[in-house]
Amino acid sequence: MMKRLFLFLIVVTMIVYPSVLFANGEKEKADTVTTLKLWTQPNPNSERFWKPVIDEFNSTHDKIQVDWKTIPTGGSSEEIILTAIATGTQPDICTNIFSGFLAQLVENDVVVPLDQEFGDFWDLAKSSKMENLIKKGWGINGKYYELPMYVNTMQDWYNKDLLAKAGLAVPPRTYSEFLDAASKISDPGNVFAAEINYKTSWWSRWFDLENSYYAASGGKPYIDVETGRLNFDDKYGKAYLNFIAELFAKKYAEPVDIKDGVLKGTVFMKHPQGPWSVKGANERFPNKPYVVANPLVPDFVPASQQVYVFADTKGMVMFKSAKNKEAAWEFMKWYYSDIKHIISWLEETGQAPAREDLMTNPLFTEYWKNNPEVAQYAKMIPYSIPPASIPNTVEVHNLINSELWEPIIFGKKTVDQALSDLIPKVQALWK
Amino acid sequence: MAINVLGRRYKKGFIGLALFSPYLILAIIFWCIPFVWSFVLSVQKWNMMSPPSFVGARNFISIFSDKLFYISLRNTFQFIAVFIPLSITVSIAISWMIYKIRVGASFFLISFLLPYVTAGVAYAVIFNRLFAHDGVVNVILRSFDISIPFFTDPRIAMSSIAILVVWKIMGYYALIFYAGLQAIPNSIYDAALIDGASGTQTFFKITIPMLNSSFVTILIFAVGLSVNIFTEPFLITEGGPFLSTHTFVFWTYKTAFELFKTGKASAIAIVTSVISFGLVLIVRKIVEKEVRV
Repeated sequence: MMKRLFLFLIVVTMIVYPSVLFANGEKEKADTVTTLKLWTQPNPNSERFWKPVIDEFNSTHDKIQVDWKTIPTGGSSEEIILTAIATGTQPDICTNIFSGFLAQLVENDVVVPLDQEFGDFWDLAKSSKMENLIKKGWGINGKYYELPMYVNTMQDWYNKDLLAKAGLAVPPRTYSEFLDAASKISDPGNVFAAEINYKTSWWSRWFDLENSYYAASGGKPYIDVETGRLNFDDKYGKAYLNFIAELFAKKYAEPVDIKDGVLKGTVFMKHPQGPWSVKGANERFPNKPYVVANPLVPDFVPASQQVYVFADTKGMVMFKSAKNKEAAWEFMKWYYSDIKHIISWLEETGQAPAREDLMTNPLFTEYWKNNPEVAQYAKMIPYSIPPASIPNTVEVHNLINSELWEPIIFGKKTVDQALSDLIPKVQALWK
Repeated sequence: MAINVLGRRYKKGFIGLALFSPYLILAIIFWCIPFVWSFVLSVQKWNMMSPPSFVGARNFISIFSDKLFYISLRNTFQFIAVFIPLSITVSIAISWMIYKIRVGASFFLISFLLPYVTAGVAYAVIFNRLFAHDGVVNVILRSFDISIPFFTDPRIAMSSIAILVVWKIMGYYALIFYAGLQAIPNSIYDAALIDGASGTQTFFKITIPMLNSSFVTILIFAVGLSVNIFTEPFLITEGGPFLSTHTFVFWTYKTAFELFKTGKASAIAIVTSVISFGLVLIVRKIVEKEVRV
């Protein structure tokens, strides 16, 4: 009996004692080390960039450690982040937040107004060459919740061979010039003059419709954020939409999926294309069979008028749920203060960092020289406009898709009809 | 004596419960709780961030006043109209063929089952490329001066998806039919042969009626699948063009995770379940018959 009791006590001691010790050790560690949860953009290039950055931070900071992972797989980053908020599993810091989604987060009071919370916010903005950029389009109701990470402007791609076949040395500038070239190279069913995205993901119209509206109008807002009045029925919007209608009516474009058409020579112009496609395209087609150009503009727009473009802008935010906001801010400052990180971001992802000195700072010169296609995108950053900060972005874009874009592409409505159906429906969302 | 019997019964009951408990626990966690929770959500307005507020039946009312409900219903019936006849015809043909071949039946059954166990995402992406304008299928068709916009013409997009799903599911349905065929006693066929019945007569007068329980099972599965179709429209057509592949589950997903209206999304899910359940009841009422050997 005694022997059994003795054995039992030994076993219990062996199990319990190390557990207690381990727990104490963990507690002690937890008391002294802050662990920050960081989520970043989920793509392989971005992942390749972040890994060494986080290793560097963790190895140089004893009191703060970053637990990093990419935003988990899902339909969209927004969906995953909201699900995390609903279940209380959101990170402390998150990247890949666009302004429309930020407006929703702000409305629900879940993100930290960085300029209010941290006295050195503007010092960081200034030293990181982001001050004017932030002031220009990153605020919501006079507060700043986000540090810009990258600005992806939108451009069109042209196939070089087809450009030559159309008798052009440089890409066309106006709709008429394009239609003239299209009539020379188009072979319906085999060679398309334009590849236009006919699909209706809610964000798709940022890249074509709104991008081209900015190009035509010199950067005029496409919507009045106070009243929800769309401006597409002005001469700029109508000119673009009539151009799109004509492309489909003449079979210069068709609602079909084409893979790498502009690179393989079955598409004259891909409208539009983001800078994230450059790296992959150059790896698969090292002879670079394409040129990057500004979006087309209506014939009445003078060549002297500055072309503005849409910019897919994403930034870094801090959630109010972060237990140690000072530590989170420490990490954010550390990331932005070292230009090495910014250069490495550009090299790994091809996405232009949100800085005002991109084209002037000699540290970037070498990269632009080796990557002229990405440089073409970066040149447009001073003339780029981020997504409108409206909380009902998705609803507005769903309506644009169903009432305007699809009916025009499939030839079901005239431009005027589609616009008169769309505009009151969008305005009704504001009531 | 009586206590002993009772004790044994309890013991048996306990073992049964212990064996059953993993399933029970999983069912509670992944079925009962979400089921009840979706009812709770369906009468609330909640965007996942701010606190939910009670809205009564407003979410349900908004469903029936939304044109997307009628579009989803139309698309679901269009899917059913192509999917059910085609999947049943193809799968019964496969099972009949395998039943008759006998040699290598397992090999053929497994071959036909492979698409069923393939991840929906993987085959949707592959088929999207295969049937694209510059995909293999259209490249071959163009040599005959034909080009079919399988997923981009609103008139045929849903039917194309239905055909794709038939390809995926036919092996599974064939397996059910095959089991049904094996359960039919040979003596019935022998008797029919003696009576001078032809092959066609035997098939339509004996085989098909004797497969009634297989038909009912497959129809229930097929109706459930049709009402809940999501992966293919989501990955291939994004519900378009012109909402021609917009389905109930696609609508639920978009409402919950794009518009962040989780209350309305739950209400849509409940209405979808009711439609599915109603259709199953109708199918059983029409098709189910008692078969006696």
